[in-house]
Amino acid sequence: MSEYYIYQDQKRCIGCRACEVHCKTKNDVPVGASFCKIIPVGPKVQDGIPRIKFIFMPCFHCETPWCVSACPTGAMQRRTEDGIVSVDKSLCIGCKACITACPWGSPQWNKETGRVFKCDYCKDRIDEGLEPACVTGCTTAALKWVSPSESSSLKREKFAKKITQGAPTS
Amino acid sequence: MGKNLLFPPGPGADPLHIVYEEDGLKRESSAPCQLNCPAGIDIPSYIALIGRGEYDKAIAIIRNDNPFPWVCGLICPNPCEQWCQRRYLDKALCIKDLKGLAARMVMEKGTGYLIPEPKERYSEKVAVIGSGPAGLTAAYFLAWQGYRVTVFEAMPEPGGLMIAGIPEFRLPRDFVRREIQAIRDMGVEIVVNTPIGDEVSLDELRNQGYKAFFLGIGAWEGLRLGIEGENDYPQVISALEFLKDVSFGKKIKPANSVAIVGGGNAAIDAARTCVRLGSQSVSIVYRRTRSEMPAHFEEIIQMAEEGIHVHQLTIPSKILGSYGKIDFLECLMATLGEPDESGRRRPTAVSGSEYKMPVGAVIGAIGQKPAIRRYPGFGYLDLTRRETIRVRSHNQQTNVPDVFAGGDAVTGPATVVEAIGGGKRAAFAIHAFLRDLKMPEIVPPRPRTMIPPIVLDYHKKSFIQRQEIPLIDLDRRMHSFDRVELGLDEIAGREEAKRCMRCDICERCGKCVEVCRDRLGVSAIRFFHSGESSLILKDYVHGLPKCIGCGSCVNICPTGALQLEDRDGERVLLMSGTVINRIKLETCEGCGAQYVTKVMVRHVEKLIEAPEEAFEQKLCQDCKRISKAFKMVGETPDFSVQRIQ
Ligand SMILES: Cc1cc2nc3c(=O)[nH]c(=O)nc-3n(C[C@H](O)[C@H](O)[C@H](O)COP(=O)(O)OP(=O)(O)OC[C@H]3O[C@@H](n4cnc5c(N)ncnc54)[C@H](O)[C@@H]3O)c2cc1C
Ligand code: SF4
Ligand code: SF4
Ligand code: SF4
Ligand code: SF4
Ligand code: SF4
Repeated sequence: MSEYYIYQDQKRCIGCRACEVHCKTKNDVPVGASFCKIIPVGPKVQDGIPRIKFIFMPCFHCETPWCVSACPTGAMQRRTEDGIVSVDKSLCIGCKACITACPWGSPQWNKETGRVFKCDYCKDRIDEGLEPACVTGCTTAALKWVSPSESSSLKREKFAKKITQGAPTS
Repeated sequence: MGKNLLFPPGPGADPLHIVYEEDGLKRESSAPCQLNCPAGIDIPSYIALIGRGEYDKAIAIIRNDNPFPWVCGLICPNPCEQWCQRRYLDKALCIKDLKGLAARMVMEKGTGYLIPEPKERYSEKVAVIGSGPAGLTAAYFLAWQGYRVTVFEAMPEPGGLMIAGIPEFRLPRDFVRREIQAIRDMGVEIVVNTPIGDEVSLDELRNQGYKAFFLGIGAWEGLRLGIEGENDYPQVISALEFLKDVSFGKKIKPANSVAIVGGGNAAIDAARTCVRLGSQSVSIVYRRTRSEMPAHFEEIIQMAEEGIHVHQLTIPSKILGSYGKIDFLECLMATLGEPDESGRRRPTAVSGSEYKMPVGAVIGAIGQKPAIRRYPGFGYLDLTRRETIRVRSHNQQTNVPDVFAGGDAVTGPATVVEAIGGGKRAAFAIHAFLRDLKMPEIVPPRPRTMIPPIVLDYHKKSFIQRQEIPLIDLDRRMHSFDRVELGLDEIAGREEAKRCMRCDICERCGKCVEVCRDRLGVSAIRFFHSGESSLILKDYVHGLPKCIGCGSCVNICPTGALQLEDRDGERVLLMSGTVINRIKLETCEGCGAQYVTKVMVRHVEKLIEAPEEAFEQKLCQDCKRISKAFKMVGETPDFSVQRIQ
């Protein structure tokens, strides 16, 4: 896991997909690809009321990212200082090994350029001291940008555990 | 780039190289056959059309560059075939005979050639002197551009050496006449029995209103043997005069025993003609060895089959006779010394090696030059050392601005297709001259319609063998002027067409090889250097056993030659229309999509050293997301969840 993470308060999320839209706009993502995705789970009846959960699925910027191990060109990189995983598009040859490798379905195919692109936590914004576009655009403040300063190691561990349920990697 | 891409190119495709349909044209061809055709015919395109049985369209493509598909289909020495890339796999395509087949299908079974309509009509008149392939081609392109063209011919029938030189057993006259008729049908006027340059000068034609001239007078003056006795006997004749007489009906054998001096096409054609006229003993006397003979290879073989003997390394020295009749040709033996300026080794006579060959006639065929000195009425034309007309090479203009020239008159004895190329270049230059446009400085690549390739699997394609061209039987050959080579029939032609590797699409830039080997580290796609400076796919015969089907090569290919297609459970990799690999696809357990090749999954598994169970469930990237989201909240994945893009 990177130094950062995006925490989603599922109780607040209404599935409006403003996060997806802001991400697409900011990152110029064409139809067919999405760096983050809201996956609806349900509706399921709970205490007599039908409930639906909306799960926010960005890239999780794994500790030992398989996408990076699979990449033959070094285009897929993990930034050492903060662990953000991103693609250097000048190196990518579009072999899609990373897409096959990632258990989360995160790397996306850009048909127009014949290369892979993906969620990089909007690192340009982060480096400017801003928050990722999805977080900024969230209408109900369900998404929270958690940077090292505000995250206790305990909280981070809990989050990591949660997202890795059923996942073979961390 | 246009919307309807003929070959959906990968993202690396470069608009300058890509085959696109915006105007249906690709600017430049990378096919070595086309690049080496003196007329610049778009060979791969017409071959593909023949493969589909679309003969009319094939002929239309050929006639964009060459008005004589039939003639060239029969007697072109096909420099294109010598460059055909397929020869590095097995043998070159039968390019010449494919052209002949298309012409025959259109002329004999179809509706004949389409007569092109000029877009414009100009008032200027242009005079073409000489009706050989050079002159008639110039006339054809000038008429097409919209000029009024008159062709002046000295002989009683137009066609030049196609009518009066190349023997009928190689080029039936009927075929030539029909192709000339197609040029007349465009409104070109041909005036026969009218030599220009002695009684009628160019100035006189200028006075009659002709604004530009093309000289295609050929090279008709036979070089002298320069030996004792040459001028003393009427049985010493020049090959061209002899062949002309035979062509115009004087089918009389020169003698029972004939010696022909020379090693080119004219020599061999004269010899083979003597055989057909009934001469019992026909010999070729040549200074160098058989392998240095400039005549076409097939002709040398066929000549030997017909019983013609070659005296190699033999230099004639004297013609001896009595009572006005030749008895002997005296010859010297020769050895080969240092190479001369033509790169061929120079023969030197061995003194004291004289011997006498009993002959009744001697035919000189040691070369020709233009008879330019016979025509003072052409004005003061710059000549070369070989007494050919000097022109600027890309526009065929002589030192007199309104006079252009081409064909044998410029090159010296050459080929029909070179004459056609010269005539064509001159026609475009004359147009520029008359319209006051910039004169062509290079021969610009002709924009061309790109014909989609015939899709075929690599192993099928590589195992089709070059078709053999059937010949009529030897006895008939030796006793008649019937056409010797029968050409391809329709079935053979269609098979032959499938052998073409479409070198016009892939430019052999090697980027695919580089990415697969150096970046991906797989080295599945490989080329090998084939002679000169060009590359050919190495695994045409075996496919690409190491390929993981990743598509990186397709992404980088600048021309769109490489393509991927997923169909029927397979990923198909195509190069220039040839299926070079088929790889099994994995099916997503969530949505049923076929999303990745099976080998790719194994390849990645190895790279990341993942626990085995990690890839047990086969999911596409979208279904992976869904699956993980459900598992994060402890639910069983439901892949029927609505997917919004
Ligand atoms: C025996 C032989 C076999 C050959 N075989 C082949 C072959 O298999 N394949 C191949 O590609 N090439 C072959 N060639 C070469 C080919 O025929 C010539 O290169 C080609 O015909 C040259 O075309 P041209 O138009 O320049 O001249 P030509 O075909 O020679 O035509 C010139 C014309 O100009 C006319 N003319 C000349 N002076 C005047 C004047 N003052 N006024 C009016 N008209 C005039 C002539 O009568 C003639 O009709 C062969 C040549 C010979 C001799
Ligand atoms: S793309 Fe996939 S494997 Fe790579 S860091 Fe993101 S979640 Fe991990
Ligand atoms: S598609 Fe690009 S980023 Fe992904 S593995 Fe291949 S080269 Fe690396
Ligand atoms: S294989 Fe086809 S395109 Fe290539 S050189 Fe031969 S004829 Fe031309
Ligand atoms: S698709 Fe095959 S040939 Fe092309 S780069 Fe990938 S492994 Fe190499
Ligand atoms: S060599 Fe490879 S990359 Fe280059 S044009 Fe041919 S197929 Fe495309």
